[in-house]
Amino acid sequence: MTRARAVGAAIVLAAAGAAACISFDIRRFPEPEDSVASFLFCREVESADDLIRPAGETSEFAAADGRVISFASVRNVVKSIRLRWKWYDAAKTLVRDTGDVEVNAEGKNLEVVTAYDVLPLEPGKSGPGSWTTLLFIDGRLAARKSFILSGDGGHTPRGSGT
Amino acid sequence: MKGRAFALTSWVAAGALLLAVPARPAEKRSFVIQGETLVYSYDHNQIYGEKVAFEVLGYKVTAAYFKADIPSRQALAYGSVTLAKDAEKLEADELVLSLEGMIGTLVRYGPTIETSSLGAGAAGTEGRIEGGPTAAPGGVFDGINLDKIKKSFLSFSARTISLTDSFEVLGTGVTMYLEGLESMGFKRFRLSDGVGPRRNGFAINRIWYNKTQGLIGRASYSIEKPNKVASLTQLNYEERSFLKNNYGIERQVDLLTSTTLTLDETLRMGFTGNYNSSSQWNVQTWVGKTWSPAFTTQFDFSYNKPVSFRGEAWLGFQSQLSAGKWGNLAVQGRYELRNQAVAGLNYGASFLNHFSLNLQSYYSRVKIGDSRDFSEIFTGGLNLSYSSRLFNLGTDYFLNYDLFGGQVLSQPQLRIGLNPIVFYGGLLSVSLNNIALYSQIGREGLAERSFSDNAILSLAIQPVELFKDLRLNLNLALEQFVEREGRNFTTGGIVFNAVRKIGEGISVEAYYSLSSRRRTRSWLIEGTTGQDLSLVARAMVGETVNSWVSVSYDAKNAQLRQSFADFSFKVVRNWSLHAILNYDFFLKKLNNIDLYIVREAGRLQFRLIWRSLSRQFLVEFVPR
Repeated sequence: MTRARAVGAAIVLAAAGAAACISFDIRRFPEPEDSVASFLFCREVESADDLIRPAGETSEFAAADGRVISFASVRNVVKSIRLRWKWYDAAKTLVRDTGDVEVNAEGKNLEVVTAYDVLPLEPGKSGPGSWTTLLFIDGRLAARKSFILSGDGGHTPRGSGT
Repeated sequence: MKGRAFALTSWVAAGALLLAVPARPAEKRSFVIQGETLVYSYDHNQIYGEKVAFEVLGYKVTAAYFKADIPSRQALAYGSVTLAKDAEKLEADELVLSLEGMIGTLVRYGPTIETSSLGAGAAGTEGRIEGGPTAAPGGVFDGINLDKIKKSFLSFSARTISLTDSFEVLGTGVTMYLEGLESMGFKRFRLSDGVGPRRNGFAINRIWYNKTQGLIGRASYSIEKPNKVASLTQLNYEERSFLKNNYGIERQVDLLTSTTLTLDETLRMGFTGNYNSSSQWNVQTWVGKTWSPAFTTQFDFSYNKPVSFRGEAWLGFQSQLSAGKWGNLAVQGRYELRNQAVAGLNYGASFLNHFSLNLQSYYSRVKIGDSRDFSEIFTGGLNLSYSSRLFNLGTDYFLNYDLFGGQVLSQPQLRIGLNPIVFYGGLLSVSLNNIALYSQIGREGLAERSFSDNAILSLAIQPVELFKDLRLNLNLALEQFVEREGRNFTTGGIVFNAVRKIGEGISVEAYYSLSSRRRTRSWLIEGTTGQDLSLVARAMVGETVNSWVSVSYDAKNAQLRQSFADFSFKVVRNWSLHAILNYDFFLKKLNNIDLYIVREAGRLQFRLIWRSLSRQFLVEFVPR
């Protein structure tokens, strides 16, 4: 009986030792850098912790709304990146270009970066229809989305970028 | 032992066959994508990639991002797209691809949005397309992103992903993820079946073993030439001889074939055949001619051999004519070589805005079993109806003449209905309908007559908001049924419904119904009365909770009867819990509990089910 116990204890110790040497490599789903997690339109933005978040998400606006907010969140940002918005009206003409805006200049390892651009609307300038907004990261087109602008009047871009 | 040996031999043979003949014929890979990040969602049949390279229309393409939606056969490469062919180099922001015809559109976002076509006779032509980027659809691609694919029940990452001509998705260097966690790796893997029909070739569709059905094999051969030939032949084989408890036939073979030839735009012909090893088979060949969009004709010949009976050979004809305001006429006739025949005529027309007419006539002369006798029946029907804003009127005449038995059934009918009339600004509505039916059955000079009349009066009030969050609804109906034999029924009923909203998405509903059916015959009045009261509580909170509980009460006998409950909760990552319960107050026991754990996964649903009644635990993959 004592011998059996000793053998048992030896097996347990050996198993524990072996277990310490075994590691399970559970591979995660691919998480590429600078990946656009969301790109949407909203009416407002709110602060949440260190980030901002969209409020009143929609893809339909009226000239009377006064503005359209294009909100983007980018995941796995590990170096400084340049964001740029381009807005095209229903006639497919560029009406607003923010130029490059540097984000994470310190080159921190950030899980998520959120940013937005605002297109002010002025009634009576151009016709309603389907508008297109583009997001560029480091000069590459990274996301595109369209919204519908309705209402009696039109809109003229104004103001600066992000 | 013999059975086991047979089963083993069958499996070895099947395995050898699988090795000898690829489960799917080697198809041309029309589209191969390489990428630093390349993932595929089985649930949604969609691909997402980053830093990708592929070849299309003779160009070597690189792009920062790639999306493909296989069901809609569309793909999008975007972000610093470059296309190189020999010395030619093109750059764009987007390349939109139609995977079916391999037609591409380049999109550039400069001072304006400019598009140019690529491929299908338009290669190299550039210039602005008026009307905007019709080639830059948003909807289908907006929904594809890394997060969505990661949240799939079944997803894959791969070094390369290939699409075949029939839209099968193949991968190399594949890692499979179940709920986003890695589960297995494969050197080469078929990620998804094709969504299109297989063209031109032999395929073993399935070899399967099942404890109740035995060994099952399915194979098919198909030929398809667009607008010329479409042919599919299927062979199904089931071997049951080695099953322990097999009391039926030992094996079964089914052969099914169907071929359609398009000779020209107006002339088509086809052949279908089915054979079953239990000695039944049938074949049919047909020719269809379209004389004009309004006039079509089809001739056919078929032979049908049922089990244990003599075969029958039929010649058939059918024609349809759509004559616009003059109505639609359909004629059909079939003749069997042993003197059997069926024929039919159908005419329908609408006229003077309010009238419609329908006329049908059928004749059949068919053998009674395998005897020398025939049944010979002529049926005819005429329907004329008138509808207006206030009322509708319809008259029908039905005739069934059994020429063999010499029996004639003649049945005219008159329907009149008063359309609902509303009072008090729509609060109250009343409708009245009456159906009078007369029947005469004549045989050997004797006639049997009967008639009945049914009048229905309905009274309903629109839902009334009594107080804030309290809505009432009331329906009354009265029906009088009169027969020539003197069996007169009077039926009346009332349904009362109240809904009280308690909170956002939460409500309580009460139903009360009372119905009474009385029969009067001379001085005797008899009948029954029934009452039912039930309460339902509902909760619908966004997409998270959708549940209800009901209790029914027999007010006449003052006792609770049944309770049903349906609880549905969304938990996480498209997993939901669903429970269905039933309690019987009379027997004082829980009759049934069904528990479901459900994972919604795009084109399929994964379900874990426990059923108390059958004491079964089931795991199901249900295609959507």
